[in-house]
Amino acid sequence: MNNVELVKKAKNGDKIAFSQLYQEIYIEMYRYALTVLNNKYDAEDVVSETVLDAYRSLKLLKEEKSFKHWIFVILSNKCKRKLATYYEKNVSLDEEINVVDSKSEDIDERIMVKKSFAELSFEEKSIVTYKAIYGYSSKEIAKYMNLNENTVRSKLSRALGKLKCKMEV
Amino acid sequence: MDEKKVLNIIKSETENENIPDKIKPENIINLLGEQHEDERFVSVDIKDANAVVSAINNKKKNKVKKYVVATAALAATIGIVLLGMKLFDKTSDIVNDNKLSNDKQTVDKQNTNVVVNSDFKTFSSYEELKKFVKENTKDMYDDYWADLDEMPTMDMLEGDLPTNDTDSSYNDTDRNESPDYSDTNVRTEGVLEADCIKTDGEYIYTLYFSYDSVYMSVAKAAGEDTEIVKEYCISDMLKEKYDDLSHFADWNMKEMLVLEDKIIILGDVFSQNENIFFNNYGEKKVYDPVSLVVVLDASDKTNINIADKFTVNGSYQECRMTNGYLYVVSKDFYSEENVEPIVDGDYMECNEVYICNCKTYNSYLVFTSYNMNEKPELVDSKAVLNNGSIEMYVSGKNIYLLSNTYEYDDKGYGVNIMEISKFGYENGVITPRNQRELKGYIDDVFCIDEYNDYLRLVVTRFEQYTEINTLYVLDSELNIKGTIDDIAPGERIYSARFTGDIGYFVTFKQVDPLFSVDLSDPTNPQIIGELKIPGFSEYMHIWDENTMFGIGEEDGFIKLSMFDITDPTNVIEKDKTILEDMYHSSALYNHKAIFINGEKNVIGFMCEGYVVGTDQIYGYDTIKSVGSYYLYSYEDGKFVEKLEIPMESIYYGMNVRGMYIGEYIYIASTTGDIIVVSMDNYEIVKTIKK
Repeated sequence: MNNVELVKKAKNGDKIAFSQLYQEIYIEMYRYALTVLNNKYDAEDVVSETVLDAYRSLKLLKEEKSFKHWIFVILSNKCKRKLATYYEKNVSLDEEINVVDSKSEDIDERIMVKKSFAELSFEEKSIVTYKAIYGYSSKEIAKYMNLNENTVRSKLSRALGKLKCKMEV
Repeated sequence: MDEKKVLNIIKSETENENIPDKIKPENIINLLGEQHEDERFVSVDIKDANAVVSAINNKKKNKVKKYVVATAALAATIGIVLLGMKLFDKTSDIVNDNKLSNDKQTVDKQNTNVVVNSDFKTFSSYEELKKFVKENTKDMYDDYWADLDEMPTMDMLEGDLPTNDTDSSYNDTDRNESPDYSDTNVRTEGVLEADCIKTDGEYIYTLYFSYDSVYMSVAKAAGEDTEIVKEYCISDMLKEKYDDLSHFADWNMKEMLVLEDKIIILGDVFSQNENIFFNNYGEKKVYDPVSLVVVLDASDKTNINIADKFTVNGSYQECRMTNGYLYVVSKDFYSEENVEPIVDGDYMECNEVYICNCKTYNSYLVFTSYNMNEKPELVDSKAVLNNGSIEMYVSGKNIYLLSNTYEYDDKGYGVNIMEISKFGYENGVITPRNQRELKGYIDDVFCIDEYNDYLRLVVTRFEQYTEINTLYVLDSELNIKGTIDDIAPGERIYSARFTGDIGYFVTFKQVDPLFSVDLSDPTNPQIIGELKIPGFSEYMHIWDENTMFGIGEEDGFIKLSMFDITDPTNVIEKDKTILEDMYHSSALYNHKAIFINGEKNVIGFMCEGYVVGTDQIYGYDTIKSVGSYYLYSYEDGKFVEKLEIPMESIYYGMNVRGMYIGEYIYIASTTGDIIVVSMDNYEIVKTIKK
């Protein structure tokens, strides 16, 4: 059964169909949220909230083909809102840096990357995450983020520029 | 450090992370199940999934439960508000303000819901346009609500024509005598809408498609002698006739219009390779969809041929037809290098590209119009640069685009912004008129209505996570003439119907009010009635001058209601019937899916429910969809079920349509099946199985 049919089933209230769809993307969803938020518990929360929201509003999805794209839009909005609360509360991002199974010589670099990453805008974080974790092309990222392809390209290079620049200082 | 290394570091950060049990698929099923027990569907008991729940899961569970309860509570508050609105009396501040100021460019500070109002901008050259696009193209990343409605429903061709929709079988202006058959249930009487199944009173045409082909079957409608006359593979016919279509796959031909001697098929196609030559300039537009308007010569039903085809770059959205002119809307995402919209392979003139007053842009809506009276020809094409998330309403005189965006204010609260753009059209010529921004979004095309040059609409907006509903009356230049704000805070609008000076709408709350509004004075709309009943209507239809039909849900089941609207200040639910075990109907969301005719006293629609089984391999409970087509009548103030036709196999995406021709009701589905029912005794006289 292809995904379009599964989406249609899920729209009709079929939980199994929904979880089959979810099964294909939940790892991506979690890793995206974790990268952008840098907090395991919040990542877990936004993913489960996204799932409930998506299931609840699935009827509103008109193009079944764009299910994955659509659920990522919901997820990224939740991440964005969550990040906004961090800024409000002035959560120190340093506390969250965990450098577990890294080789010792890498640790400084990793910390620097994470620190600079934390300073990127939400949009930049998202673009870099899509690129880094999933290796998406600019075209694919553009689709996910409803951005123009060229905009993605320039934003990505700007974001990577910022990461490099910060580290060279 | 190079880019690759930076990306690798970011990648490796989450690579070895364990996925928390709570969000693993097997536990998600459970979570959805919990939600459903409290919500609208009857939940299916899925056993054993809990066994996998880990310590972490338990620790965090309370939190999840809280969320579930919150959503359930929200769901429980959905109700029906039938709002009869009266639009006269007191003069509001807004009206005075508008009278004082003719400057449409100023921000209306008196009413914070109004953002900007201005006319359209154009550029004299594509160089300038490119520059503008480069500076103003922005992402729609925040556009959560708009994205939900991303695919425009140009459900809305309506207008100057009488808004009195008492009879769903419109009087086709192309025909002289009133036909003895029903056509697609339309938004506005007199304006044709395309659909996947159509009739001309003699034949029934069914369009269905798979990835690589699109077919049309033609059946002769003759009661018990009904038979399929011929089946055409439209995609093969097109490939044969036009070389430039030969490499297309993904035939997504969605709908058609049936005229006297022509059939028009509309949809879009995607290329299966990289050479798309809809661009006459040799530029590649890889994977971009192309909208197709195919005109068939149908003077002989047993020998239908392709007469002509037209293309527009971009995905097909919707069409409407009136007075022999066809209006088609496509959506095209531009790139910064190629900003020129393309119609039939040629660039459009730059001065025909109009700039919507959006804050961000990412695509065009391309309007094309065709004269279908004799030899089909392209009459006009206009493009509108906007942000790509569009709802569309077309009235007898005007086309309205409603572009939705979702923005965040300083505090991080989301705000819905809706840009309304108005275009006039006459004999195929499309003329840009006015623009206006409002806060909020509309639920569907029935929430907006043009009457006597006034545009009335009911919108919902989120303000700090609370829904607020507003009714607006705009004049012909889209200035706000009257409003009712803060209607039913915390609820949202589920359906609406305007009929002349009265409007009705349903909001969703614990008990469900149906509001009546008097709109006879545009500057002062008044809520004149409120009916509270359990359940809510998703679609409302004027049955006759004193009665309005509603289809919606109560306790999760499909519910039919009949309202007495003789006195809009005192609307009464005359009768209701609940279809137990039926959870869903396409008629709730698509007005074309309902067959309703007050004159013939018949209501037909498809409903779906499900039965629970056990998966053979995994042993978990599975849900199998079952469904029936229902025929109802309304006799002496009561719904009477005339016939229930169980549909043996339901595949998702299957469309079923009811119609009457002469003395018979035909129930046709996109599987190719046709069931013929006598209108005298509601007995099935013929079943065609494909």
